[in-house]
Amino acid sequence: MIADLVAHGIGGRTDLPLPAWQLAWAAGFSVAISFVALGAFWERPHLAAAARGRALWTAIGPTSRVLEATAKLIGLFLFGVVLFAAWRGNTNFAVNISGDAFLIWFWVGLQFVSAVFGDVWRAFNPYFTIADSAAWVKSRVTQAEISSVDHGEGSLWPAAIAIFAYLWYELAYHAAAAPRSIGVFLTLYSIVMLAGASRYGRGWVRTSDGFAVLFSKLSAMAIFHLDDDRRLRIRPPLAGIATLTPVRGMVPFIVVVLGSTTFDGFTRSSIWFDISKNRLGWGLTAVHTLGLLAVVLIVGLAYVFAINLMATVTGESTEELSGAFGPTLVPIAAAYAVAHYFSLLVLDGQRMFIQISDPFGRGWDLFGTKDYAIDWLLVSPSVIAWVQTLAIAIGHVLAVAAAHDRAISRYPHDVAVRSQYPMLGVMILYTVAGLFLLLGA
Amino acid sequence: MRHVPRLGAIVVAILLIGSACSDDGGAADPGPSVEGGVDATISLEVLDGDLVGGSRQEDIDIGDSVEVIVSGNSDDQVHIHGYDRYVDLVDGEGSVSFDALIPGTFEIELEASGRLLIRMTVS
Repeated sequence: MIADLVAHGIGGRTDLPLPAWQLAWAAGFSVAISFVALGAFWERPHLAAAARGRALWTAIGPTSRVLEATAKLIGLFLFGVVLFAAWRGNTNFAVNISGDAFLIWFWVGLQFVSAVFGDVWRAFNPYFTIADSAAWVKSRVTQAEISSVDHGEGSLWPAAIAIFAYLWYELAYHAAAAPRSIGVFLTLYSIVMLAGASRYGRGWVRTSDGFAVLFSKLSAMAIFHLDDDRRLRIRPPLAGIATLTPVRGMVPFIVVVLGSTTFDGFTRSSIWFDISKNRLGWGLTAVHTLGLLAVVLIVGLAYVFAINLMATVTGESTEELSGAFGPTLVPIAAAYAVAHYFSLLVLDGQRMFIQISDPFGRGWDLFGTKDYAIDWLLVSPSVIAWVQTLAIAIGHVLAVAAAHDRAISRYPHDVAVRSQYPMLGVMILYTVAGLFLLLGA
Repeated sequence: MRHVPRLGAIVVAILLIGSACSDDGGAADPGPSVEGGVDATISLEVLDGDLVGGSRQEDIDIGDSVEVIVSGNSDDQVHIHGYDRYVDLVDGEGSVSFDALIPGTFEIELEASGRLLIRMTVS
């Protein structure tokens, strides 16, 4: 009963503030690199050519079919376990697998895996499996040909709304870690996804499941990808950013993700502590909701302002520019995720070793790991601080490089350089703001 | 290309600033704590589910032995996050001691109401 009311997210532990000198170092480095990018970066686009990469294995035939089916079954099984734990398991989130599985390992873990290795979730996503199975059954019953799936051509606005709904739940709702709350959220989210799939066709889930879209966009940075002929390929990190085509709703989607992570950082500050410390329950939710909306709005307005400035340089429409340069924010989104959630994954994430032995909090010990002691000193504060600093700095460099590559491929060199001033400005703003939040001032 | 020398100077300057200050970036060694002694006390007076004086920030040195003492009239449970220590309040009173060996910022709160009492920074 008690844990149902717990008024905070997972863990209740946050990182120590970043030392000011380290922040200055990262900010200075990012600004310096940005100016190098204007003049001395490469003069011909490189990413598009490198994006295809080298073929490793062709995913056709019995082995691939067995792997695919296995992944789908694992995805359905894990989803079922988490949903069951959320509705029927112990109400204390610390001994119920649903909170950590959903909020840490799924949400944070898969962002990291997607950005580094590739779009793994696509193989496991239970919504794809259910929608595909339903389409197959329907085609059998009606004797009609199974409808094809278009991959990612639809507007991403539904996905932006879906991911905002999740981020509101995680960051603003006052009892996000409580198992029953997770049960309610996952159930509602699943109903919307599957109802949409049955109404608009199974392709709809591909562009509307906010999680799937985020993991898929992040995977553009990753070293592995599956091409249209189902060949598994390896390529340099970041190169795939060049292959992200303009899609409606892409910029709002990224802005929601960036703005929410920024807000999450802001809630750790002493300013926010003073604003929220005397609020409880829905009163706390209300303040968090306003804060979240405000930060997302500010992040979005900064971007719109930069795009408008850019339009005056290149003479193109802001819509065209948003589509072309929106994907270059993906590395910043990945960097924010690493900077804010790295320690959550490696420290709080260890609770998973205990919870897999007793997923529903019933006193089981399935794998003999019930008594595992979390090592809170697994990574030291200075290691965490360096991961944060380097993530933000490297994310910034990658974003600047991706934007430069885009500009060079679109405009003559001098226009490309001039067009980059506003974009660099907004990227420096995001980077320095991201760093300042790590000060915890 | 004519930007390069100036940029080089900026980058070198930044690196110098970084290395000059990096000594204080290392992990703090847990200092020796006195056997049986208490280095820091956090006293909380909880009346009708609220902390007298309002929620506040407490800074603790890593390695210190900390005692949390609660008085007042609320029959709740105080939860020290991260350290996962609980103080069951009987007639509004209770106490718990622990060694502050985990660095970070932790919430101390009333478990049932979710009221945040203390933001404790161990560094």
